[in-house]
Amino acid sequence: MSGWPLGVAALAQAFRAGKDDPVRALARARAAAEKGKGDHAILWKVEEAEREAEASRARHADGAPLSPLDGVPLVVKDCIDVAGYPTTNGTRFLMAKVAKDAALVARLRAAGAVIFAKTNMHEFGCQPTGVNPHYGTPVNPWDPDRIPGGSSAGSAVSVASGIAPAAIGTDAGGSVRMPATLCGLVGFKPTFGAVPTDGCAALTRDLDHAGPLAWTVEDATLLFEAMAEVKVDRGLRPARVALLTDFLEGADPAVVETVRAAARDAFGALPEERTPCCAWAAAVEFVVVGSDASALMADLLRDHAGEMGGDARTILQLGGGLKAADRAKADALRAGMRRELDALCERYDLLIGPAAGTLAPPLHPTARRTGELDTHTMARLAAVTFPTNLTGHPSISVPCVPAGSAAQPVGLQLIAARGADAMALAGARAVEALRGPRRPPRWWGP
Amino acid sequence: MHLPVPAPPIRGPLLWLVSRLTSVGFLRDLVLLKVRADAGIPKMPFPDALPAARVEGKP
Repeated sequence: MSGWPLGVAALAQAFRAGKDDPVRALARARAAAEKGKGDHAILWKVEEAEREAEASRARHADGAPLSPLDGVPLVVKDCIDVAGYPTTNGTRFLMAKVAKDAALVARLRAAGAVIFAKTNMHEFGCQPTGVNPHYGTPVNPWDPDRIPGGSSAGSAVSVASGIAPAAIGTDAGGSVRMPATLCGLVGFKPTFGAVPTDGCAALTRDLDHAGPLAWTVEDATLLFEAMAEVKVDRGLRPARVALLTDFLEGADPAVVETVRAAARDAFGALPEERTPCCAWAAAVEFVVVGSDASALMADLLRDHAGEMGGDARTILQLGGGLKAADRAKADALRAGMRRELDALCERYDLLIGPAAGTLAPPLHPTARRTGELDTHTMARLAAVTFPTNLTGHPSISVPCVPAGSAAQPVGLQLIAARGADAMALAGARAVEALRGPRRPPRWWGP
Repeated sequence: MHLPVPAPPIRGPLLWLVSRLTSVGFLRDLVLLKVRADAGIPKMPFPDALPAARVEGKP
């Protein structure tokens, strides 16, 4: 889909051919951000971007771009440090400017990318809905009355509504893949540790990942290569693929039908596998996130509880009450989940399931103002993304609604062996070749 | 997937109230009893008690 007007690969190609340049691309992104400012996707405008775009334009004019990302305007979630700006983590009180870029931002800038804005998110990234009562909830461009997905909500909405060619988010339970899915984008959570998270605000001790949200798998691959400092083998072809039936149980019929059809079209008739440990992912994630987050944010809770949204405050407080026995059992199940997926990945190149258990749920008017705590809906939505945060396996969500359909977005999730990020991307390419991206009705881009 | 039992969403003034109540230790523990039960946390098995991942069907 290199013809997509605002994609990373398409822009890089236009820069190389001299048909476009980074200064004009940034100006278009700024204009789109201005048109879409009522959508609450952007929190901070990064002022250095214009100067960086001019430097990039000079490099292109000299025929010496730093990488395919040189001059591409990007946005990053506001839990990722950008020097000279606050890292609010979706709150109203973390306003101190940070001195240093996060490691992944430094790598993107070293590749020539132009970070031009920081994006809105669910407070602390503690839920997958994207609802933010402090800054307004980013508007889902497919349906303003539905949640955008989170916690990287502003990153997803920025891309899906035509403001940015691609974005960076973080993911401790689906927070890249969930908003990508509900906004009709590709979302990639690489193997744990493949992309450095130094300089990213942590929700947990060891579930947090960083990854790209993009229009195409190639765009996500280019961003992953820069952030992980690796070269992805684009010649891989997945041969052994299985469908995870536990991931389909409890999902909306429309999701199940769409995912099964896309998997069949891309890979043929598939064997079906059960994952009895991963089936407990929702309970395990609640315990691990609750206990980790309450410990990591104990000082913030002590000093700023009254300034927090009701849902974030309640989750942190309840997490502090979980017992050591709950955590021990959750850790044992988590180890079982890792063994389970490792064993399946020895037999298969890819494991397939839905990337969200439901279509984007409705956004209640009161929730817009106050936030919301809805554990059942949250688990129905994200139980399928939790497992790979708990195990560290790479997982990618790719849109799988047929082109030309006006249906709400559905994402197909592909999981590969730990370290086999290239295989996950290869599988997503196979799905994308049949389905591809669709532009939503709400669009601010050129 | 094992999912929490359906429960009404908490939002608006009720969410404000719950966020204040759960800042008090014993009230937090009372609320947590229900949240743990709804989420199935007490029912989490040890992995040894579960069947190994298995093939359901072949193409």
